[in-house]
Amino acid sequence: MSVDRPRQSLPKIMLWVASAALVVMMSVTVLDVILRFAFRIPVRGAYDVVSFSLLIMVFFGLAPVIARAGEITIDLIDYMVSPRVLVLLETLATCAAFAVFVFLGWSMISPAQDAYKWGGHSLELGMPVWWLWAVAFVGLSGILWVCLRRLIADIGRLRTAATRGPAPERSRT
Amino acid sequence: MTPFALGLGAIGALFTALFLRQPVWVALAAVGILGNTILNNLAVAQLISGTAIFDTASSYNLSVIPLFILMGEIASGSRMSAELFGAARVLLSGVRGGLAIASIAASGAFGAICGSSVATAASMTRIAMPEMSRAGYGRGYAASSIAAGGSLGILIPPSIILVIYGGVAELSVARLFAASMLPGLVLLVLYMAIAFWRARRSGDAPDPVRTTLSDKLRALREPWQFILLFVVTIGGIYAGIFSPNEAASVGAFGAILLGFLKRTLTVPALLQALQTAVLVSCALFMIIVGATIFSNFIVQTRLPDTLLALSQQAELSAFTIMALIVAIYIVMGCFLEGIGMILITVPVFLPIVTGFGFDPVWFGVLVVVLVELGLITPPVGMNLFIIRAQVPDLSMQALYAGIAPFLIAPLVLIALLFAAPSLALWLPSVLY
Amino acid sequence: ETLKVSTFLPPNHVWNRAIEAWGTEIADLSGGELDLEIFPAGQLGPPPRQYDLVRTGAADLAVILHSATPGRFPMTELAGLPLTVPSAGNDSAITSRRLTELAPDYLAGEHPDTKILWMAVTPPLKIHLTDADPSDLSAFEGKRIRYAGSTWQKIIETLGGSPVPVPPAEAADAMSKGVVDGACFPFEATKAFDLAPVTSYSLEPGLAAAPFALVMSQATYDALSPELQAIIDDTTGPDRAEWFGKMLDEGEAGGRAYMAEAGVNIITLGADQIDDLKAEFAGIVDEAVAAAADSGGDAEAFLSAYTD
Ligand code: NA
Ligand code: NA
Repeated sequence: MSVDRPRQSLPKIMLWVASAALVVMMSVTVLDVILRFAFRIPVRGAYDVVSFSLLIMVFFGLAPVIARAGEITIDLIDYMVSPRVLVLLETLATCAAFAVFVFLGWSMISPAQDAYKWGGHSLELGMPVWWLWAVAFVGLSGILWVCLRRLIADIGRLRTAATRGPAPERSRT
Repeated sequence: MTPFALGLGAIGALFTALFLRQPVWVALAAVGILGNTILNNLAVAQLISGTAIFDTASSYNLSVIPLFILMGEIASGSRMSAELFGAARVLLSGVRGGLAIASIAASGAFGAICGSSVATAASMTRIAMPEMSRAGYGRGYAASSIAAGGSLGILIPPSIILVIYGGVAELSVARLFAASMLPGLVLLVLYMAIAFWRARRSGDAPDPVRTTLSDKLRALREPWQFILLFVVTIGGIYAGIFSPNEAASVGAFGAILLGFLKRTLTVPALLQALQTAVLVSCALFMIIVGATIFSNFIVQTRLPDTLLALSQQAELSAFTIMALIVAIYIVMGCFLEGIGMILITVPVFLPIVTGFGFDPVWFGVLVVVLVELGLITPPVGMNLFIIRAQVPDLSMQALYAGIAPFLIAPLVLIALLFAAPSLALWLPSVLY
Repeated sequence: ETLKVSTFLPPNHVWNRAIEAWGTEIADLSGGELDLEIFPAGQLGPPPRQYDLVRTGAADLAVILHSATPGRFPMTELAGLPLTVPSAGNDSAITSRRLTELAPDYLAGEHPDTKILWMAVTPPLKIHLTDADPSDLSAFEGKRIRYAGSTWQKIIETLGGSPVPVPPAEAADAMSKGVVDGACFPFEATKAFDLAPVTSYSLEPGLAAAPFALVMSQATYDALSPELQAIIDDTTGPDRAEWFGKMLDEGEAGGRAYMAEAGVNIITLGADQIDDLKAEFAGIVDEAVAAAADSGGDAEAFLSAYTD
C-alpha cells in the first residue's frame, strides 16, 4: 500500500514514535533469540517489552492513520452517488470516528483508575500497569486532536462543495 | 424487543453503516456499543469498549501481526516481489497468459513470506499490472489474476488470519501454519489453471513471447534470498526453533539485512516500509477492536445460538449443518472483511464443528479458505478494492466480471477439504 | 430470573460443568424462578477482566482466576504460594474448603461489590520435563520451563531455571521441539494439552496451586427475594467448595493415571528435599506476605489460618 506521509507535524511525530516502537519490538525479539542460541539465556522481560511496544505502536500509530483517512472502508457507494454526497458521508464518518474515540477514551478512565488503585503490575518486569494506561491516554489525546482537525477540514470541504459544486479529490488508500 | 430481534437489527444497522461508507471498525464499534447499551446498560458498554482497545493493543500474541506485515513490506521495498515476478515471467514465457499466470505464481511465492493477502495483492499490483497493460492483456483479466493470486497471502503461511484464529480457538499457530501449507499449494495450482484456461479467450491475453532455455535456467537463480527467508522463518517455526512471534521478528530483521547486503534496500525505503507496516497494522488493529466490541454484544443476543438451535430442531445432519455454516461464511464474505468475520463467528461455530468430530485445525484451514473467497467475492472484496484503488481507470464491472471464473478455485478446494481432510491434517501430523 | 454467568474457560471445562450442575440444582429448588445462562470461553471478556464484568453488571456471576491480575488480589494470591498448603493436605477438596471458610474474614475486602459464592484451589501444578531427571533438584539448572503467573516465574528462577511464557496450547509442541525443556501444569491439564508423548519425568508433589473464586454481583444478590437469596446461600459456601474440590481431585487423579499409563516416570520428592525447597522459597513467601500486609490485609493471620 502506498503511503502519503501526513503533512501535519503531530501525526508525523506520532508515526515516528510508532515506527520506533515497531523497531524495538523486532530488535528485542531478535536479541532474545540470539542470546538464547549463543548463551542459552533469554532476555528477561522480552515478553513485557514486546507487549509494551505494541501498545505504543497502536496508540501512536492510529493518529497518522486517521490523519490520512486510512481506515479500511467499503467504498462501494463511491460509484453511485454525487461527489457532494460523498463528502457528506466522509464527514459523517469522521464525526462517527471522533464520537467513538471520545467514548473509548471516556470508557478507559475507569479501568485506568482501577489499575492505579489496585496496583496491578506486568508479568515479567513487575512494571505498574497504570504506566501503560498513561501511555495509552497520551496516544489517545493525539488521536482526538487529529480527528478534530480532520473534522474541521471535512466541514470546510462540505461548505466548498455546497457552494461550488464538486469537492476536490481526497487521497485514499 | 427480544435480544434476538435486537441482534438482527444490529446486523442490519452494521450493513447499512458499512454501505454508507463508514470505516469498518467504526461501524463495528458503534453498533456494538449501542447494542450493548440497549441490551444491558451504559456501564457495561463502557467496560467492554474501554478494555477492548487496551487489551488488544497490549496483547503479546497479536504482535506477530505488525512483524509479519513489516517483513512483507521490507521484502517488497527491497524489490523482492519484483524479482519473484521477473523470475516467474521468464519461466512461464511461451505460455499464453504467461504474465497473468506468473503474477499468480509470484503472489503465491510472496505469500510465503507475507502474512497478509491485501499486502500481497497491493505489492503485486504495483509490479505486474503495468507489465500486463504494456503487453496488451485484458484489464479485467489482468487485475483479477492479481486479486486471486494475492488472496493466497493468508492461506500460504505465514498468515495473519490464522494467527487470529489460533488465538480465538486456542490452537498452536505453528500447527495451523503447517496445516494450511498443502491447501495453499493446491489453491495456487487451481488459480494458475484457471488463468491458463481463461487466456485462450481472445482479447484477454496476447501471443506469448518466447525466451531461451538458458534464460529460464538463469531466472531460477534470482529468488534465492527469498527462499532463504522462507526457509529461515517458516522452516524455523516448523523445526521448533522459533515461536511464530520470533520467526516474524527474525524474518523482518533478515529481510533488512538481505536488502542492505544486496543493495536493493535503501534507508528511505526501509523507513517507508516501517511506516507503512505501522499504518497498515494499526488499521487492522482497529478492526480487531471493533470486532471484539461487536462480537461481545452479538454473543449476548444469543443470535448465533438461536439460529443454530433452530437448525438443530429441524434435525439436520452434520453434513447439512456444515454446508449451512459454509454458506453463512460465503454470504458474510460477500459483505464483511475477514478479521471481523473470524472474531464474530468462530467462538460460536467452533464448538458445534468439533462436536461433530471435525478437527479444529482442519476447520481453521476451511475458515481461512472461506475468508479468502470473501476477499475476492463482489460486492465487498478487500483485494478487489486494493487493486481498484491503485488502478483507478479500471471499471468495477470489468473487475467483477474478470474475477468470476476464479471463484471456482476456492470452492473446489473447499470440496476437496471435505472429501479429504488429510489434505490439511497430514502435514501437521508428520511435523508434530 | 436468568443470571448471566461469565467464564473464560472452554465449554467442557470442569468449572463450566460444575456451574451447570449447580444451576440445575437452584433451578429445581426455586421452581424454575432462578436459572443460569453460561457464557464460556471468554465470550464476555478475557481472564483479567472477569472480576470487572461482575462489578459493572456486565455479568451477574463470573469465575475469577486471581493470578491473571497480578497485584490486584494480594491476600488471595497467598493461597498460591509455593508449598503453602493446609497441614491436612493439598487435595483440592481440603484447600478449596479451607479457603472458602476463610474468605468472609480475610478475602471479602479485596472482592468489593461482589459476593464470593465459593473459592477453589486447583491441585498444585507439577513440573513436567522432556528428558531431565529431577530426582536431583540441581537438574533444573539452566533449564527452560514454560510457566504462567509471576509466582511460578519466581519458583523456576529459584530452582535455577529460565521461565519462558508459552501459551498452553503451544506447550506440547514447544517441548517436543526443545524450545522449552519442561512445563508446569496440573496433571489434569496434561491430558487436555497432550503432554504425555513429550514428557519423560513429572515431579510430585506439585509446588504451587492457583486460587479461583466464583463471585456474584452484590447488587444482583440484593435484588433477589429473600427466598431466592436463601437458595443461593444454602447451595454455596464451604460444602460446595469441597464438592467442587473433589471434582478437581478426580480430574487430577485421571490426569496422573494418563501420564503413568503413557510411561511417564513420576518422581516423588523426599521429605528432606521438600524442607530444603521450603527454605529456598521462603523469600518468595515473605515478599508476597509483605505485599499483602502493605495492601492492608492481615496477611500473617490469614496464612497461619490457611496452613493450620
Ligand atoms: Na502468507
Ligand atoms: Na467479498
